[in-house]
Amino acid sequence: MLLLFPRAPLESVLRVHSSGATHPLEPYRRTMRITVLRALSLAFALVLFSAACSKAQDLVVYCSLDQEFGEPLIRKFEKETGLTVRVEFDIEANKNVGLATRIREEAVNRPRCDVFWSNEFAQEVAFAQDGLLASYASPSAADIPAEYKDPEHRWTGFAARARVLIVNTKLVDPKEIRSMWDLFDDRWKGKAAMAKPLAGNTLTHMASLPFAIGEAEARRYFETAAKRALSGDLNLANGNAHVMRLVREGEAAFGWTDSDDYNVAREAGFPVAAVYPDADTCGTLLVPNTVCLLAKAPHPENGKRFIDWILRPEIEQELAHSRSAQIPVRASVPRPAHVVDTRGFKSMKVDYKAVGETITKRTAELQELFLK
Amino acid sequence: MSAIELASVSVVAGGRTILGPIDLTVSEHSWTSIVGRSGSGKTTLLRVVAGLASGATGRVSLFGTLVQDGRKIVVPPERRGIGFVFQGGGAGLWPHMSVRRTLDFTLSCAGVALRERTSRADSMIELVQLGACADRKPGELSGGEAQRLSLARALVVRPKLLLLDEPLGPLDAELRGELVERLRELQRSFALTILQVTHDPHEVEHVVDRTLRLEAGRIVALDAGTPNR
Amino acid sequence: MNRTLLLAACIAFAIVGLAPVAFMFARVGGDGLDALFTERTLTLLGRTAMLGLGAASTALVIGVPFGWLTARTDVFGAPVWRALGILPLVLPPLILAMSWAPMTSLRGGLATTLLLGIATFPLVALFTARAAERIDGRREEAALMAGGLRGVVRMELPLLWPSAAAAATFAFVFSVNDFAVPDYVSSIGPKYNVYADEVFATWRSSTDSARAVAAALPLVLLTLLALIPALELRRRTPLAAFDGDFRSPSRLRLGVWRLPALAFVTGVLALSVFAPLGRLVFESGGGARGFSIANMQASFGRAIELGRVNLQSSILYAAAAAVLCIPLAIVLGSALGRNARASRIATYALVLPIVVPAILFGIGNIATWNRPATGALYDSGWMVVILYVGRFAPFAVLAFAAGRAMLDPRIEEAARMAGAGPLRRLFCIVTPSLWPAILGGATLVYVFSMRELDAAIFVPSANGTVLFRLYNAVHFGRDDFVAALALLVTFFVVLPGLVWSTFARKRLEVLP
Repeated sequence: MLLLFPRAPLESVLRVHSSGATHPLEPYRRTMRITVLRALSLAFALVLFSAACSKAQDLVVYCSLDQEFGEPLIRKFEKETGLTVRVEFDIEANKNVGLATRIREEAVNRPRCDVFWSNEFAQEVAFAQDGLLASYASPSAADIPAEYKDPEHRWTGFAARARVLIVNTKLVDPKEIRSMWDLFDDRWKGKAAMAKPLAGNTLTHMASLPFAIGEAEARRYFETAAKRALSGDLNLANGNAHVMRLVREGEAAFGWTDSDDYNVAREAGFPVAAVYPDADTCGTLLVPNTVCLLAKAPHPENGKRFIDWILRPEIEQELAHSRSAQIPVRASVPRPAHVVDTRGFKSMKVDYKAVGETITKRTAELQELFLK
Repeated sequence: MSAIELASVSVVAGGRTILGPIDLTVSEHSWTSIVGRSGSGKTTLLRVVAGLASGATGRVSLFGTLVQDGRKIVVPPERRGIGFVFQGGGAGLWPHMSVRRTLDFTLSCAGVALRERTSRADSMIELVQLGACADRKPGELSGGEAQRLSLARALVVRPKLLLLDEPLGPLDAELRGELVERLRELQRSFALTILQVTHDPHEVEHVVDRTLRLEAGRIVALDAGTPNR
Repeated sequence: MNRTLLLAACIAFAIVGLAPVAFMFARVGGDGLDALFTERTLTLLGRTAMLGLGAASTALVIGVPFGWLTARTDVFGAPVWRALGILPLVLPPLILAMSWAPMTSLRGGLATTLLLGIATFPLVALFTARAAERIDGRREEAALMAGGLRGVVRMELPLLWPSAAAAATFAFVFSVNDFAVPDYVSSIGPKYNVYADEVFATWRSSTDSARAVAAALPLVLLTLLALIPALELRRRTPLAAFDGDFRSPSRLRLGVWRLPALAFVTGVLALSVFAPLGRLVFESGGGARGFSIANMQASFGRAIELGRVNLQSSILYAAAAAVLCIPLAIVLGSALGRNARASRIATYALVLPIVVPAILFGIGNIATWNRPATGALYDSGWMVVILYVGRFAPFAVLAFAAGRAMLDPRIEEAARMAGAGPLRRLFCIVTPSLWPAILGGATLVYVFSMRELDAAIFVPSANGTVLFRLYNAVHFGRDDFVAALALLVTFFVVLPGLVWSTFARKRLEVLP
């Protein structure tokens, strides 16, 4: 059997054990060499990473227009002016609280943003109210109608989207849908849709209603919508693009969405039509893009250059011809046939400034009604 | 000079005294076995000497140096120069290190130079007859091989004090006898002081100088070893 | 543990993980708390708690058998199923919801619960699988001798329970913080609102951020309340110690149960992986309006062209975060397993960055880092990495701490007796023994970082990440592009895990 400890030359072991004095630091020297090598390679990697991450910029633009449309324009601006622009976009999945919150938070210690280009107006009015914006009367804005501009030149509107009712023509004849109240018609029980009015353009739309149809009627509209949403008679989607999807797929027959979302469905060949409702009463709400210069902009001069550039009629024309089919606010700007002429239909008469100033209060009201 | 001196040592864990208070002196180059029932505090006593027992109080001196005073650890375990063989075959072996690497690492911890480490590890591997499995990791060793590796690891740095916690546990009777003989030889050659926990006093009675009997954490008897040593 | 090192790690974690949370909660004043508990918010909170419980229970019901079957039994193709089972965790839940919605008419609370349960079951499966692998083979053989397969199950279930419950708690945490899935799934039919929506809405409706931060408090408390029993349970039930004496259990023979088990495992995967992935493939090829390979090539071409740089940035940021979490995990994870009372308190501090809503953590990062002294860092890509580390390091730390707790203490004691100092013990003995746990933790950090957006959206360089590009396209109805990009992201997220589980002998220990 195998012995646990077969005889071994113990003496040789002892001899080796007692031999040779060593430098006490010897093992540590070797370890240190390896450590230094590792630290150096780590530092090298860090430098590489930093080099890949940091870029100098001449202008910082925060843009809540979709990246798909905003990015090419900004790159074009860079090319034409030679300036390096850092652009930050927003996403609907985050309920668009990203950029607006960032502008406010960053303004506390270290403002980063020069120009805020929003795809609606309420946030900018709120910023103006809180003194976050600088006044700048861009020469490019001279021919923009006065209702799209802040009287104190702190923000300027251009290229609008309309709040339309997108209709699935296989399920409903678009002629049957004429009013925003049709959403609550029992004929369309469970078939009408709108986005939850706590963010984005739907919020702006709802906040505009009291100015167009009066406080009491607007309140009745909110309460009816909330009640029907909770019972399932009205479908509440998580965004306007989602309403468009529900309608184009036939899950809903019609619903509130933005004209750019409608255009996406139209271009893709879905059986959809857009209704510009309440032509004989309050009219259709137009939500312009707005652009503004921040009061503490780190690069104010470049910011002004950008504002001048983006407010030109050519940009409105380009946006009108893009997939987002934005509606030029200047009647003179040429547009394709599917983009409405602002002279040809009744737009909702609202004071954008007043809507923006009440939107926070209105959000709280809608939150109480819709988040149950 | 005495190798170990314990004065008023006790260990409290979870509000219960599991050892002591005890006073004990172990002389140099001696072999003391600790016997007693399970839970009598045998392993705890070894851990106090090693400095590993939490909740220990009292004075502990090793070879004339005070290593623990009250609750304060004066000399931490890693600087006491003690070899420790844990209970159970592979217990405490480093699972990611081969036999050779285990010994090399142990020697490097003791500050032994690289060129000397290799030869010392090789000699120890030869001594414990693990040459055939020098590149295996603990998970690939048999119970006996793992036990030998534990012993080799404890001895390779030539400690003056060796603590053995039931080193014969997993072995059969014949192997136990063999190991005891070998340890005896090593003790003499290395001038070791051995403190050994065993639950079977007979297996080592012919080699030990003293047998210490513990009951409920207290020393109840301290017998001299058998004269045939 | 070396005190300097521990102090350095604590400070580092306090800065990247806790400071953003602290900056936010410091804003809460008494008046912010007044409006907190109304009948409406309590209803939302109650519903959210039910959703969390439902999702966690679903994850348990699916995850425990799935994890156990794929890790420990001879069910046909077990290693492959096990690797594939991680996928639902990788896909952003909204993508899961979007690919599911057209396939079923199920809507509302029940659908949300099931969907979030399916999205989070891999956590339970992973934890269960690893716990099952840590049961000593001899223990299992004894149970097999005594009561056959049934005996094994009865013996092992109580041992798996703590790990599975801990994982279910994480499933709960993920579920109660999700607002996109409930919103999306209840877009048709009665609206199903949850509390996470309230947090967002309050940011929009408050003039001061104090009320908005206060609105997040109930959700944080709810999450912490859920964590307490799980962490306690885990602490009290130690599994077999991992040492040289450990015997790996061999795969159990299922006998007649082999076929039903296979049906169960593949059924779960069909629901959670094949259906959504299949849907994405279908969409990438043009979907219902005309699927073709040419369409698919075009959409992938476009996804690669537009998303390539974003994908590179995402991988770079996520990998950097994973690597940086390793030293934090080793040092903090090692310290966690020591003093019971201190470590209990430390664990709750540790999980804070995970339990606060993403929006809070993101804004907290602005408050922490957007200052003159750290401005350059804030503007750079490092900010994204810092945010990822702050938010996800707890996973790596917990994974390491769990591995550390399993390690036989005598392994470290032996090194101590051999003369190894604290650093040497940590880096030469403890760390190498726990490499799988470390890599597993780092992989979790990588995966969560790759799919993170809700918090990162608040810091500048996150604009360059691929998820940002993905969600931007989701909004604009680019279905084929979105599907192709989502598939690419999925591929790069699971790549490290898949490579490891296919080729490595040792499994990733991605569980506490």
